[in-house]
Amino acid sequence: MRKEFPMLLTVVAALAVILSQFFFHIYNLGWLDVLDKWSNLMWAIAIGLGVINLTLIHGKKIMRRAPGYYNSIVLLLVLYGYGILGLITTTEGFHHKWIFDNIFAPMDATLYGIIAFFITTAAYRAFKVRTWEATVMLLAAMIILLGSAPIGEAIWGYWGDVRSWILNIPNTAGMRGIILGIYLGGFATALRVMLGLERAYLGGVGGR
Amino acid sequence: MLLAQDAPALGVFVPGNVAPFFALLVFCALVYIMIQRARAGQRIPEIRKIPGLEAIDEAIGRATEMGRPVHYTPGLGEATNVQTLASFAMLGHVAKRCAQYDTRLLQTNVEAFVMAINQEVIRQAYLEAGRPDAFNPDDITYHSPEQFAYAASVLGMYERERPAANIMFGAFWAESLLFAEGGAYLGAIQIGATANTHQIPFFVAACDYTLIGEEMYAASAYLSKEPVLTGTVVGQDLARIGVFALIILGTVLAHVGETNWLTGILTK
Amino acid sequence: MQRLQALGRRPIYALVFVVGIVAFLFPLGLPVKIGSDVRTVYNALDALPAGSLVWVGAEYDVSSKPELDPQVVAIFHHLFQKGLKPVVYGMWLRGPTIVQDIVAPIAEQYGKQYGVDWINLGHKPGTTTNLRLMTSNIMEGAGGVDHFGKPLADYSIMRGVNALDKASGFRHIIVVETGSPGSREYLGIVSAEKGIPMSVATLTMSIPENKPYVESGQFTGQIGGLRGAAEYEILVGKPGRGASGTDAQSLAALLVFFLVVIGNIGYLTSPRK
Repeated sequence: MRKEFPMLLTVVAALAVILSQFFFHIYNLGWLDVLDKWSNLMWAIAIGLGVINLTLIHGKKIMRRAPGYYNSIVLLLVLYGYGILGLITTTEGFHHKWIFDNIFAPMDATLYGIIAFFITTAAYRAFKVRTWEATVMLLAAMIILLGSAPIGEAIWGYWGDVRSWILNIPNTAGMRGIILGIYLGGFATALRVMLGLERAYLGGVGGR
Repeated sequence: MLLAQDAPALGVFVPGNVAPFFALLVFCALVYIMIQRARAGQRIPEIRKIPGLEAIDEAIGRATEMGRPVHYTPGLGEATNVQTLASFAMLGHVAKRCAQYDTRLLQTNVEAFVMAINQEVIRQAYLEAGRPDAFNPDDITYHSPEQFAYAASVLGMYERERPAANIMFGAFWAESLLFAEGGAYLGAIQIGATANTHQIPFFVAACDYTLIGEEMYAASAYLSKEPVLTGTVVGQDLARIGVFALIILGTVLAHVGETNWLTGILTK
Repeated sequence: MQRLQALGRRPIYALVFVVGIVAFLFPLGLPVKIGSDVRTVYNALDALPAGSLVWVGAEYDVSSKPELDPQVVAIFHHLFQKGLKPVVYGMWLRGPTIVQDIVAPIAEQYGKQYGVDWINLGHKPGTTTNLRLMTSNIMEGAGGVDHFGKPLADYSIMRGVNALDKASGFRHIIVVETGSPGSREYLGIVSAEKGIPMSVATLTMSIPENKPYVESGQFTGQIGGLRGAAEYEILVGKPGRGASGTDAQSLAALLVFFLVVIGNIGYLTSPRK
């Protein structure tokens, strides 16, 4: 039953969504609305469970003085401190917002900004004229790169037009193929899960 | 809910969803037929060679030779994301190989639900490989629900543990390049797989092997070599041929200015 | 010469850093040409009658602020200039908070009153399932309250607005997105189902993947990255951070181009190629 029951739930929920999507009278039964509300409820429960779980795991770590236990202290302090502050002052409260705007936001944006550095080294390493396919990729990348910024048009007036052509024609054609393949593949995977052919999510592996 | 003035199409269907319903039926029928053929032992086409999947054993083997761990991340997708569902099967394969080769597997997570499932997948894989004693739950780690906090944490782990193989298989966003470049500096063999089209170029630029889009969905069938699973991939490819035929038909009709009836059918 | 293909990462990082700083300290002021994708978004919003509701999906986080905030600023200038009524909502936790901070001063500039001329429904849990709920019942989807936890029934803008559909007066959807959930979810759940046109404001890296949807007409258009923001700023006559940011983008693009060229010279002169 440990595996059969979750599989049964998966199939029933999937069928409810699929049938509601296509059949007028089933749609009007409002199953989707009910499922949506359940889903919201589960989100809320999951957050509560997560908090309890984190407290238990890190509480034990602190009690045992496990390696790096001081990180657990910081984690619990921030979790409860910031959470309680938010409950008291709301997320728009001065102190809550100040911490968010001046600590979290810059740190998050900084890490995202690191991508600019990484993409430069990745481009430098990867874009080489090794094969003719790699050469085509290199040329397309350089045209798009310079054409996406005003500098391309400052160098040559038609640079932006060439970029637009690449994006509108070859890119759109290729992207459509990839997207179609992805959706068909994704649906086949979902079907395998629904039919119980793929059970890895239940802890089974299969294969050799 | 639908508005009161809406009327069902053909008496039973939600307006606009008639064609998608029949498309779904045809798709399911194709997959079903191929599964039945496979079960009956009839010949079905094989899946072409996918270098990225062939390289997985090589990457784990290399990590084993070097005595360094393998890192596996399913990305940021939730447990309900189809890419994450595909990732569970791949993780099972990777974990089984790691168990067989006695190589340490570091598995990092951003989603609590996904982590719980991954734990089960890995535990089961070690059990199937006959190495339940080698299973170490402490190597399956939860980092943060925040995208870049997770990325920073994984990059820190790279520096400490120096994995020799880096397998990224699932739904990735902006953290993909951070992981892939971080792995490249370590000299790790890197395999990236995602159906998030905006991240595929980053994997192509920074990884040794990239599985583009649908290739990742075929992974479980490809690796397990199970005819029934292969049948679903063949059914999917037949559906693709149908879509291709529809595109050709639409293009021809558009050129002669006769697309109205086709659009009418498809949007009914 | 062969060493050109083996530059260390640190000098490259240093170059990127210097180029970024120089661009912000000494702006080039290069002219920006308006692209068709941005112009179609502008034209679509411009053609809406005053008083129409425009749904704004604030589907991004602080990490994308530098690239997306200038777009939001330019879009809201346009919305308020035209007398359109934006309704902000976010599947992303912090999206509505970020947009609130940006929009409040702009609304004040145009004398627009919160709750009358625009509203922020805030973030509600449930991502796509809750978005679907919005298409049938906004009151339930929003839990009956706005971003500040105040009852929606108290705001005049919400009178007669029952669901995210045409009947309630929604004429356009703008999704400011950084990933998923984002424009794809809006396309499938709202735009295609309810027949409301939608546009996307997105990151530079998402432009190629959105192109098929723009070309097929499923998206009215897209505003992509700082360049898109700069174009929209020009269209609404409010030059801002988009325009200044494109200078840094220009110099960074030149740097990458230069590095790729010297890397290839090193590669081609290498005997081991």
